[in-house]
Amino acid sequence: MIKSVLVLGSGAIKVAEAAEFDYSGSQALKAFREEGIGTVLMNPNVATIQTSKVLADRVYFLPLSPEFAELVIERERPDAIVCGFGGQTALSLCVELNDRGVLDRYGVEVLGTPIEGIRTALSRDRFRKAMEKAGIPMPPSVAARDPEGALEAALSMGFPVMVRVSFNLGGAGAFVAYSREELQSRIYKAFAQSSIKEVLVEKYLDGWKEVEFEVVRDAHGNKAAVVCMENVDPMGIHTGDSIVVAPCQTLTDEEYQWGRVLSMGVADAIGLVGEGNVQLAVNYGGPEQYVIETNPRMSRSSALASKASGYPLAYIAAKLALGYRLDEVVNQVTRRTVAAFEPSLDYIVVKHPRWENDRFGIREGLGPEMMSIGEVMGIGRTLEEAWQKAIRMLDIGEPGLVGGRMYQSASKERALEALRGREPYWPIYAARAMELGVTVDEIHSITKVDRFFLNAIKRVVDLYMALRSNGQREDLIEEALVLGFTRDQISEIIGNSNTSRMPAIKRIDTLAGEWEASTNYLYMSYGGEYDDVVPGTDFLVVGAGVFRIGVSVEFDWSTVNMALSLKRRGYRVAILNYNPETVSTDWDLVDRLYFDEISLERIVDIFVKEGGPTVILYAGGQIGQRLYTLLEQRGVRIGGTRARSVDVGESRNSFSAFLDELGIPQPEWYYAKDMGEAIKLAESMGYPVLVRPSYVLGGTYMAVAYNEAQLVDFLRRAAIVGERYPVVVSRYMPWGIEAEIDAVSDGRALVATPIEHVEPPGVHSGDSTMVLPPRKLTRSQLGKMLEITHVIARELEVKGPLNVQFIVADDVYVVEANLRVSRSMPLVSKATGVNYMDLVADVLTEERLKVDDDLVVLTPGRWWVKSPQFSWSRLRGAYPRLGPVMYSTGEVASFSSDFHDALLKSWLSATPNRIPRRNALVYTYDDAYKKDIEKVRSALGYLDVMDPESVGMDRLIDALKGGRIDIVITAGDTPDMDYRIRRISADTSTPLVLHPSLAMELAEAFRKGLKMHVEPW
Amino acid sequence: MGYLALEDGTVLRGRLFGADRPAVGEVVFTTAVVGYPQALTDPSYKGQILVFTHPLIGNYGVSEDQMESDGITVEGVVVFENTRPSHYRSVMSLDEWLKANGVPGISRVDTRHLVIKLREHGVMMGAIGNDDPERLLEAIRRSPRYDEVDYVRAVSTRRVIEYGEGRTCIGVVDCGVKKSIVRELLKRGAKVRLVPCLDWEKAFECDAVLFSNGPGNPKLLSALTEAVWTAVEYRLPIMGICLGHQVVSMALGAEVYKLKYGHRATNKPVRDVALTGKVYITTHNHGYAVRFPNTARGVRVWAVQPDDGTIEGIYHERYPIITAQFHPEASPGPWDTRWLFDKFLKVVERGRVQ
Repeated sequence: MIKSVLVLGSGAIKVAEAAEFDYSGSQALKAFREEGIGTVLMNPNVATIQTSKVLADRVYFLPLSPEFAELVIERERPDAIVCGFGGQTALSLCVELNDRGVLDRYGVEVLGTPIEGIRTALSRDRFRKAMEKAGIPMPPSVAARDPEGALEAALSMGFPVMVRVSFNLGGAGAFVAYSREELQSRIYKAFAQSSIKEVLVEKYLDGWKEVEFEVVRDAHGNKAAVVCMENVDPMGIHTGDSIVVAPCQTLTDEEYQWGRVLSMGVADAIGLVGEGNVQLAVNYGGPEQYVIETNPRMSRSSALASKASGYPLAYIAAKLALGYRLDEVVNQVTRRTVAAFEPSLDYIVVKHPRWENDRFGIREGLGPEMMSIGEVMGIGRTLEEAWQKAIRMLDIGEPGLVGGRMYQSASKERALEALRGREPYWPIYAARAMELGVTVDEIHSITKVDRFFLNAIKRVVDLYMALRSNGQREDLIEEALVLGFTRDQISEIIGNSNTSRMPAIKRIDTLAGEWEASTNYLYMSYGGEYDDVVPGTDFLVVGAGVFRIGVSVEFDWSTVNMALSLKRRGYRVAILNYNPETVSTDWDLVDRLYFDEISLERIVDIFVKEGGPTVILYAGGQIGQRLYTLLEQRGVRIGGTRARSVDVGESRNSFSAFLDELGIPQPEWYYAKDMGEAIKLAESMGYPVLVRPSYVLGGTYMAVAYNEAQLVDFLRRAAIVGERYPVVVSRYMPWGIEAEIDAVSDGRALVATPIEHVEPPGVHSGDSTMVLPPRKLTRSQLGKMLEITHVIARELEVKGPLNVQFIVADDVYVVEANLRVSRSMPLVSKATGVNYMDLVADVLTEERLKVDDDLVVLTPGRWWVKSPQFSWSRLRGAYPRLGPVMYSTGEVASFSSDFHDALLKSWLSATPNRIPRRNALVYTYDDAYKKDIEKVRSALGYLDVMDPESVGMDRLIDALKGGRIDIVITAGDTPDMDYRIRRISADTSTPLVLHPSLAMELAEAFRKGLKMHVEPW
Repeated sequence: MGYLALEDGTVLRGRLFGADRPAVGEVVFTTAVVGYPQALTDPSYKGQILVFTHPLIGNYGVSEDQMESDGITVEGVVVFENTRPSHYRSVMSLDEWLKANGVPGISRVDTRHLVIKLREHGVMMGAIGNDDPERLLEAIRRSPRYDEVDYVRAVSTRRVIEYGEGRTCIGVVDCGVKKSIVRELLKRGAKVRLVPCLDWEKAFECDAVLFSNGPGNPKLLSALTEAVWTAVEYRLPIMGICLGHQVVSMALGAEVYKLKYGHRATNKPVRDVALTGKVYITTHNHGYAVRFPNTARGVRVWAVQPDDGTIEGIYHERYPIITAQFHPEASPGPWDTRWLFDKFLKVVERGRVQ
């Protein structure tokens, strides 16, 4: 009998490991709790929903390393462990705990797929042998243990070859090599990404279709292939970077069933218990299919499949891991039918990735290594509707497949170049090319994308052109709506459309309407006329939308906690969001889930159809901010802070004037309308200056210029400056302390928590190391910060959350204020033990905070440190750097009674950080940091401290590639000098520290050593 | 522009495609996402207008190898979108195929709304056409009800046909057999003798008898119960699939009832409650089901649909009889239960050797 179980999380959000594991872990915790089983969760990702006391009995914010896991096991003595809900991180950790004998020593049973099965699935070589034995076809391939072996295999097979990596994540290190040179230049990175130093050299199946089956299997061998998903991009592009449709669209029944048989064969061969996915290559011109790989665990695909189908894979997998039979578990959507079935979809979903390649300066096209940062899922009754919704959901400013800025600005040559280079967002270029006369067949021959999908794009383009020439025809307008154009977009194309047509509310019920469903998982579509539901919602909480740099699971935490806090107060709550990875899009959470676009038009639609619920815009972060005024003008009731106050916070001009009026200091800034003006302003202010263009070319939104040459260079290269596109030039203050305050106000009282940054101003707050309570700020500085925050809250009549950022130097300066939830609110809520969203719910439902004093400061009783997680190794070719632009993809936190211990536990929780044992490479090419870096060198004096000069660049590069450098510490932004050092460090997963302030604190922490003591939250 | 009218007076608008003629039939829906060529050629759909719940139908076109009979058997087709195909085997589009077979279709119907209506009301007679909806309703009223028409006669083979060279001969009583049932038997080395439904004696020269699937109300086939008893007398192993299962069950004392809106899907679980305890995902296409009074002797249920408890297969304690209400031959749908043919043939071969 199992009484307690240890659940391993996936740690920080990184490319290829994102909020989907918060969703799957949360579902598993829920499933165990229902059975009366105690849960212990180990996950340093403080921003997640699973790390709240609502779901797990005990939470450990600790590095997911075998050492710490053993300490947790020793302390908690769980009966069992589950490995399948925390991504690759948890799976690898489980295998390691098993191999070190930890599980045996403490008598911990592995629930779900046995370790041997996991090992077979993860090792390319063992997997291939197991498949051979089971008679399951795989593409010709050879496993290699060193670069020479890989080359030999490629030569014997003939180029092009696909190189895949064992025990890795999101295709890390994988690539297609067309030549010997290409193989040799990239193979070291592939080996660096494999924890067991093994790669597979495989025949490259150019142009084949790629499909994936999600399979559930119980311990008795009962199976179901829950969802079939088809990649629009053919083989060779990582699934995570592919556009994916569900259900599979271009397979015949014979092909579908054969793929299903193979997938189930894989599940049997590895002894899967729970859920796994199987990827298949399907010949586009013949009957052959090959199994490519399997993930014997919950994955990004399984989160997508759950949302696509309404079948809660993680929840069911958890039940199956406990030994239940598939036909004993009840379908949570109908609550009447059993989980042993395969959902039938009466709609189409399109998953579309979002990339941030411009931000990182990545010029490479899509390939077998995942680079996307977030994803969205459009649901519709036509492929075109789902697809166009998805494009809008990406929030890249495109109104759909056609007509946006990216579309309009591309020439035929540019569009074709983008298609040849497999650039992100290629469908928009395909659409553009079609308008400019390129045929579907030509695009097919370039991209190998099935004509079925290209025809959908063509239909949208044809309709777009027809609308432009005979716009007012009613049948064309109706057709445009069904094909996923918005009313706004139609109006823009044809003048005023005046259509009164509203989309219908449709329910996702796993059985295509065959059985009555009791939950309300909804979407809206013009592919129907009748609503499935009647009005019945008090609050509509708007979620965070697509994840991108700066918007991640922390805003899902606030969305979910906002909704749950309102629900606990007895209100009927709906959520609007469209990110399939998230917990907020779990239809089980609140009364209704609208899985749809976050747009003016759609919120108005829901508001009208739901009979006027109060709309909550500030819980999802920035995405709701720009809708305040527009929604208010349309008569939508918005909860909390008023639109005019939000606008003051959002507009640089009015906020600045507001601060001046109140006599609150701010860093000096001005608008410049041309280059000359910018130069003059910078001179009068004194360098360095921070420049922020309002019209950005490429991905650099902001830069620091230390002299005129840098200023001119940046503005020429990265921005358009002019009367309509002014550039903001502000005084750059890279000294003093950066700090912020998270708070909730009811317009009168304020509950607040101050946070201090380890890095000085100049490093984006999302990339800095945060500590609370503050260490260095004086009492009077803190008092001033709190007073300013209070004044802002009162003057702007803030009725909800706010976050104010400060630079504390010779005075306390306000950098900005956001009248919404902030990235750090989950951290603050967990550190102080007070859920900030609960406070917001009080303000929303009772119009006041339930506090006695006007100012309540909440501070944690221990040191809490939050560290950023960067994904440099995944962002091919990007230069690892810190600056005013955010680059990190996630964050982790830990706590301790000692600051340095908390810092170390937190820093070690981010990959690939390790404590250096032998040596350190410490250098800078930036004179401004020379002195600080010198201090770091002496602080690390007990190690063999190197720099590029003393070692010599060639030897240094060799040492890095060979994994013989323990840590790289540097500062400044000097790609001309050290691009290779930083890039190879990233490629080889060598820990990188990019700021001396953090390096100094870490040096102290290394010296003190790690306290091997663990404590639950 | 056209309409789908239902006997309760509901009129849904849509766009007509396929053949330019009206159709009347019992409106039923399938939740199968793939396999429309198989579904549309399945003789069991004779007399019915088939609604696809998946909105995109026609994606991979049509090819000969996907046919379950010589042509389209449904009366009409309702989809949300009939799509332009893309597949290396496709020889024509859904629209072209319907035209060639003289079958009308209607698209852009709010099929989800229609399905919920059928679920709540039960299946209804309906008509597709571009006529005034009133005239469509009139056509429905004038046409015979589905339950009263003997469709089996229309789809059953008119003469005896033999396939294969195997030593074991299976006599298939063709009530509207799907080609894939014959294919599954041939694949396993059997010889198949297809006989007209009402000439069932001609099947008895074989080593075993299979009562096939087919359209319509099983109550109209009570004459076939005699065939079942004769086969039992001859000690011939018997297999019944779908309608065949219902016929065999009736012979063994079952009562037939009509399901409110049927089981038509490729995703339904069936639990083997007698042999293995396992759960299989299976294809279903039946509007009727059977239940046994306590007096039925020797009948054992081996397969059950766990959602609503429908009997999905029986066997007999003393006679070599096995049946399936679902479709072990799949096509379209999962191949999880094709082993049933192995099992049947093993029984037949054992009997033949003796």
